[in-house]
Amino acid sequence: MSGVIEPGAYMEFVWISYALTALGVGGLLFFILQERSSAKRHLKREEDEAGE
Amino acid sequence: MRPSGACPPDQGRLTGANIMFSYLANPQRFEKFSRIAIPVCGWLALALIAAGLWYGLFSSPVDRFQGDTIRIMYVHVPSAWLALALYFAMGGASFVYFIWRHNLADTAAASIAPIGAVFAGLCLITGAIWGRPTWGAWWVWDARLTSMLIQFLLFLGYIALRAAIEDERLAARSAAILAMVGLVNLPIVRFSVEWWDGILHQGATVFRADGPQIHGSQLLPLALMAAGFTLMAGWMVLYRMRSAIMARKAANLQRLREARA
Repeated sequence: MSGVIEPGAYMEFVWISYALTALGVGGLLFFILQERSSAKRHLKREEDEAGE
Repeated sequence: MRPSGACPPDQGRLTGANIMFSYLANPQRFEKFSRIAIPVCGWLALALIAAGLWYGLFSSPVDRFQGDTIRIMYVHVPSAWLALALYFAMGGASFVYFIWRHNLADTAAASIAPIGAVFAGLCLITGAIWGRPTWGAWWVWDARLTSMLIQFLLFLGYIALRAAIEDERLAARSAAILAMVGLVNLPIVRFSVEWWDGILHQGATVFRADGPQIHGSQLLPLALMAAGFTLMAGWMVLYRMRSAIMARKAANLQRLREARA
């Protein structure tokens, strides 16, 4: 083994790393936005109840 | 009247973090701050990550030894840096909560945990993917990788501990203790490559006393991605903190309504 990786070799490893990072960050964003939407709904319901 | 979450004036000396939490403990001030900081962090993060991706994937040259696999560094290193920085922030916020009882500090620590866990997980996964072509192994039990795995487990432990205890105050205090104890692992992760011999993981190349040992064409995408990821994490933490404040307000209103009924 020469210890040198040729340019273009193992590109699938590069794409998989970026795809998994995008998936992780995307999942986190989805979770954060869902959490906000749920908190907003709960707060609105309680404020409406308090207003009645 | 003292605002909710602010510390009594006679408790302890002021630290930078305490001053910040004292200032932002006022809900109006935090609201005002986050209304400006959230979009600023979000848009800047988007711009920096877009530029970092362009340079990292298409514009920066291949490495002499590692070929194109060097491009994994542009997502692996920012994830690793964030995992450590977020744990440091979580531990610091836990300390402020534990000593001065700032509710906002506890909210910050709880908001950071899942974000830190994701970045620590991404660091381990992308590191394994990078390790396979460069070391010939997905995983080795060396000090750097093992201490990073412990870092990931500390985040998971914090989340699990908070979820397992029903009493909110007890959960917050217990989790704060775990977060503070876990701070011990940070220097181990950071200096493991210097403290132990025979480690496969490379030593520090950017933050060194003699300056970065990395070419400018690789440093630029790395710096762009690291700054973009940091701002994105800041956006996420602040956004989650606002959601948590909303949820707490809703829960208080619900308790009041149920008490009246």
